[in-house]
Amino acid sequence: MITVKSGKVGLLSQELKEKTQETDDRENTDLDKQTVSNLNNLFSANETTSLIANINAFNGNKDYNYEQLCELDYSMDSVVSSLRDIKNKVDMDIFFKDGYTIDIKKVEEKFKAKKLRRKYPDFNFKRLDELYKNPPKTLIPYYDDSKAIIIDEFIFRKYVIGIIQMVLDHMDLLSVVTGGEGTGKSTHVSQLMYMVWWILTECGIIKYKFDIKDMFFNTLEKLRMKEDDFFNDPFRILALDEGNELHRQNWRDEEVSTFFQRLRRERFNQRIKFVCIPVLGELISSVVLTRVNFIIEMRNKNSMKTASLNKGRAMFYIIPRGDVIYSPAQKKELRKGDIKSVLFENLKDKNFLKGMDENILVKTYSCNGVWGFPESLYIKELKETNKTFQVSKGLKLTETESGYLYLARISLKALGIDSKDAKYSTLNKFFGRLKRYYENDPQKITKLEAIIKRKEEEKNIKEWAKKGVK
Amino acid sequence: MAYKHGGTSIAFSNYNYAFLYFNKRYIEICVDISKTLSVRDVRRKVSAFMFEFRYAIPSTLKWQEYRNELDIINDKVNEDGELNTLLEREEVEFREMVQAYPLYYKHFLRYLGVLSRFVTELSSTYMPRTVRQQNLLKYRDDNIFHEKLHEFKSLVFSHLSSFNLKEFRIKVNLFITFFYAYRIFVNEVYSTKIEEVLSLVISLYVNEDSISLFSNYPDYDREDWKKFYKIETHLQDALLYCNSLINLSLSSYGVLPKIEEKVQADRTLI
Repeated sequence: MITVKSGKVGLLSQELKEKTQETDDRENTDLDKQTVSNLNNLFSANETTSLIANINAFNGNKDYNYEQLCELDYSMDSVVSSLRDIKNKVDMDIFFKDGYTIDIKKVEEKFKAKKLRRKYPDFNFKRLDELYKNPPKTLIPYYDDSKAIIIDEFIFRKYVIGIIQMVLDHMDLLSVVTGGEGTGKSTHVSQLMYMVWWILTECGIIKYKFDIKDMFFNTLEKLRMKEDDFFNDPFRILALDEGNELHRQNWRDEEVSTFFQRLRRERFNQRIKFVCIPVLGELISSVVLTRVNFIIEMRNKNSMKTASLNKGRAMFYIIPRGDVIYSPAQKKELRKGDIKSVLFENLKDKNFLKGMDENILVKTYSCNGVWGFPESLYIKELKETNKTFQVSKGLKLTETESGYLYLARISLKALGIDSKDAKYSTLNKFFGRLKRYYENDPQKITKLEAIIKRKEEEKNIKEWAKKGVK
Repeated sequence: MAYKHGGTSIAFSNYNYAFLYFNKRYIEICVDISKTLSVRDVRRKVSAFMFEFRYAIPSTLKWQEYRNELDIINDKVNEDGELNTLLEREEVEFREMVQAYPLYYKHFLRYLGVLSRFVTELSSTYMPRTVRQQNLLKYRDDNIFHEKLHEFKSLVFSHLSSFNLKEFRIKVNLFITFFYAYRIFVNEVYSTKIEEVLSLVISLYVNEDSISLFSNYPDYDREDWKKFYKIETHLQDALLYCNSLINLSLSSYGVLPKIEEKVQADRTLI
């Protein structure tokens, strides 16, 4: 309450001067000014004073009724939630004081405890730490020093986390890039592939070259064949461009079911896969909900001045492995359950045709048009694939046919084909793949042998019947 | 008191609209009563406002208390016939006005006192005190609450910037009403401090020595001018100090852009 005081002008002036020169009493606090101010506000709020008065009333053995209990519940709830909010902000500040989240020493300890040094002899923790703390702003592609791929540090860190989990927890990493025609899906996938390859190389995890032929495929068959070749080779980056073969209608196709089965079963192969697909709904819902880690939706923006399109707008979604994921786009944490429910609804019926639901958007970012590998190679690969689609349908073997071929134990030598023969290389590769296909899954042979045995028995019974044997 | 019976959404379902109307009306009355010299006008406006929002006072007994207090102040104002006649006149000279100030401020501050307590009482119904309520009003640039607050704040600050003793009443009253209007957002430590400083500001102005000095305005010698400017500086500094304390509190409600909202970084993994 403002009250009028009496006194001499000099004394009043002196008092006023002293009052306005008082400094903040909390100078020795380790809390920042904003937090102190927030606490001041909270502790002087109506709810806090009511809470204290209410507790005192109870302790003072005064009459205590249901209404007061309700008031206590309301004010305590409100104070606690506000206090938690303030503390969370402080926690967040402490957490990000150094600008990053990973305790690299702990990573190293876990690495040692899991005895992973033998598997990754050149793993460079220092470099990993550096990369996480200071992600590069751009990456120079291997084929042209004058070009630069723009890197978004949020996305970069998420892939680093993904790689750490791959190393320490034996996980796969699957990213799906969606978007309409000409939105820059393939360009961006090539950038992401190059970024991941670069991180893996920098951290001493891989030593293979960045070669489009071993990484980027236009057909499922080619991808599957290359995957067979690299069966025991972890951290292989594989991308399927135009994954339209994965369309829901083709779910029964052998290549498609193999692809999905591998996603489901072969986590231990530590693959980094990218799939470009026009809409997410073309993939099987259960695979999306359980196996996909990142979804990137590419969009075009209209450029009013040039009446053309601005490509390279990316919307980044995460299906978290943990319980929550922080969304800078929405400045809040999104719960895994909520994300999955939204996605489930989105994948139902034909809702997916509308595109992704922005309520689960994690980040928006822009990428430029620089390819991770030379664009000319991409066009060449694309043309070759189109040629095969047009001219030849290819020859496919069923499981039984290929099984019989395997059991026939055909030897090239026995057929009179040696390494000098022009047919040798192709046939050798084919039989190699056939061998690996069955040796990696011996159950298939057991099944096949059982079928052969049954067929032979049936044949014998028929013959005995003809001969009149009972 | 809005209790939480099965979720706050029931208690605050019409929260925004009610709050915005209340806020608009409150600012109107603050600006009006700080402009007028007439204590009768202040009485009329304060009474009208309190009667309009009496429905939102949680307890009838409390309303009766305010009503009685208002009646007592009104009676005292009516008794002061001489003051009323003087302040109702269309043109009042500065020296006459200054001499009436001790009495004027006695009544004006009483009205403000009862009004501020009445509004505090209403806070549980209207003011955004909880995180949920703050969030409702945050991040909405087109919000009337923010618009009005910024408008009011800018008006107050422009008056404080051109502070002079001759227009003391308009400038100080505007600041006091602004303080009371948003007192609910100002933390209690600062609020108490502001009240102490404002008490000294008004005491210094309506002090006998000061009044005798102001009564001679502008027939001053060199020493008088020195005294006059010294008081003016003291008072302006004090008001600016109080204003800074209000800003410090308001900024944490997201009302002022002074302290930028930190872009929260990510502490989740994948």
